[in-house]
Amino acid sequence: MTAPAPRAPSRPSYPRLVVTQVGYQTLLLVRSPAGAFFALVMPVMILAALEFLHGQESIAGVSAAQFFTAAMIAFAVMNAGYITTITGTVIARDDGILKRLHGTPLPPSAYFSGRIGAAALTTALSVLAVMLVGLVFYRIDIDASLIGTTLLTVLVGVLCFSSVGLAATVLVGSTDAALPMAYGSLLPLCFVSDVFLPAGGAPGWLSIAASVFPVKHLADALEDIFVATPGHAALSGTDLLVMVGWAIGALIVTLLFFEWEPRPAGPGIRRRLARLSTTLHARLRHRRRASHQ
Amino acid sequence: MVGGSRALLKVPAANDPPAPGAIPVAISVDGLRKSYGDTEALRGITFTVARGAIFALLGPNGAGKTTTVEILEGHRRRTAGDVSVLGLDPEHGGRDLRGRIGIVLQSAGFDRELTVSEIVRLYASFYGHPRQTDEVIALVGLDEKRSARTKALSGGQRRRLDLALALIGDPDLIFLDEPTTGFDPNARRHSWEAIERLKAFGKTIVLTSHYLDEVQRLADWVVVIADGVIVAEGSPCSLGGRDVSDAEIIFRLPVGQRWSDLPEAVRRTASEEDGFVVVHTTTPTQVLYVLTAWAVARGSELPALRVLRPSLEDIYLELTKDAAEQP
Repeated sequence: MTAPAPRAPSRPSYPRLVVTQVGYQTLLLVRSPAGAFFALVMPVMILAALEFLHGQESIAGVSAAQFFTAAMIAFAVMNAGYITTITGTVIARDDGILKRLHGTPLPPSAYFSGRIGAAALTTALSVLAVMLVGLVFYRIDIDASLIGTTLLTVLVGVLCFSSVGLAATVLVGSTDAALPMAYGSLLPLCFVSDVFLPAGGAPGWLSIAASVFPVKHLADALEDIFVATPGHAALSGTDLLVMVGWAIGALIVTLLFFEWEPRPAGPGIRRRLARLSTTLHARLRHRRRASHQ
Repeated sequence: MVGGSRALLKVPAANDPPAPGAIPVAISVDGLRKSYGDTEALRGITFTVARGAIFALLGPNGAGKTTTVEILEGHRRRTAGDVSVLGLDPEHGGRDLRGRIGIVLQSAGFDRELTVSEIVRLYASFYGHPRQTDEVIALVGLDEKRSARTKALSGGQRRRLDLALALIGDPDLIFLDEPTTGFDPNARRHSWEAIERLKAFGKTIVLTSHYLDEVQRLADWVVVIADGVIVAEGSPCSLGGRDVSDAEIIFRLPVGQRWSDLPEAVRRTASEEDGFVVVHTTTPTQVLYVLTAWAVARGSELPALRVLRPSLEDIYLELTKDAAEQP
């Protein structure tokens, strides 16, 4: 090394930073056994199980396989988007990896984009696996003209669920709590949102409550594509808009509250919520001070 | 005394106007305070760090060392006071500042599934002018572990990877928070050599430590902090008046000599402890001159003759004890 010469501040370009982050996050996901299992194996496994149990039935006028493939694509999006984003980010935070990153010139938004981009890549692999299994083993019909609509829906879905995952890390206190809290919030919504079975018999209030959350909208949007007769309007604008709304809300929460430092062990959720208001207050004051300078 | 050492080390005062193009002060801190709720962790701290110097923050656990360093790094916000790091306020320095500093945190993990060279390359991608990946891995002595996943590294190897990640951006200023805690003596010596090499490259280094030998060996300037205030500062050799305080001259009486035979000038300040004669004096040169002349005149040696100064440890314990006793 030589003595530092005066030099013009120069930075790597933002797109390059994001591309590097996506590559790095994806590598981490596929190398970690848990990440690979939840994102890539689990949806296919559940598809096989559901097909084994209900394979002879027909649902909403189509074969069960047709319905379950759509549902498991939705589940794949939620696993790779929501579950792995929460667990991966909380582990990185509690191990001090995020604190170290935060001391470098990497912009926070590039890190978030990396997480979302990696979730999208992993989701693409997972969806591909589900569709291949559906096509090869269960002989589902996929209208070639609907591939574009499927891709768009999956893309909006993964943007929504990985953003919500980033925002949700604010509520997760420790690595140990990450997986229970992630599935504890996702699975009940899946059951009331037509993911594992069409919730025909559910009480009306329950499906109204479910329609607030993005799970139902992703499932409905995908089931519209796979279950509807060809020619029927397969692109569900409302469902996509609700997911985009959740994504925007989640990204705002992330930018305001995201934490880069390991949590001191064990604050309960009530104290955590109290701390959030302190954090918000401090950050807004900080922004104001920064804008005055 | 402290002022004199400061002039000797050419540490510029905080209010000197920085010369255009070359800022001589890497860090200046004035009246820094930090409160957590009702607890005041830092109660008004003022110091400067000269460019190219190794600056040590020394103090017991909980004294406020890490809080101070994390404010300088931009990890924490201060409650009051002025702070300037490389001419920028760490709260607002943003990417420009973070691109010029390197941080070794007290404890921070790695992505377990990445290899050493993958993770160093990843961190290199954040900077405009990073060092060569291989060069930095070699500098910290991890050549042989280049393709090992980080989960397979030993504690000492992880600490070296910490240092590699702090150096990859070619920073002007490096923060080392307890860099050798938990090292065996050999590893510490290697670490010290690495830190001295960094200084030779012109880097400014801020280190926290509670090892006195580490500070004695490395630091140009030491600030001792206890209970959120600075209790002393100086070069390691002059800290707390170590260079001008009383010396102890210790020896045994030569065979055949009695206490009453000792020269008057020596006897006046001497006492007997466990068969040794102990002389406390602020003028050891004069006392030794009289004493050795007396012994030589009698043709005898002064058995077990030693001259002692308080060690850095004595001074440190004295300083931090006083601070702990304050309300």
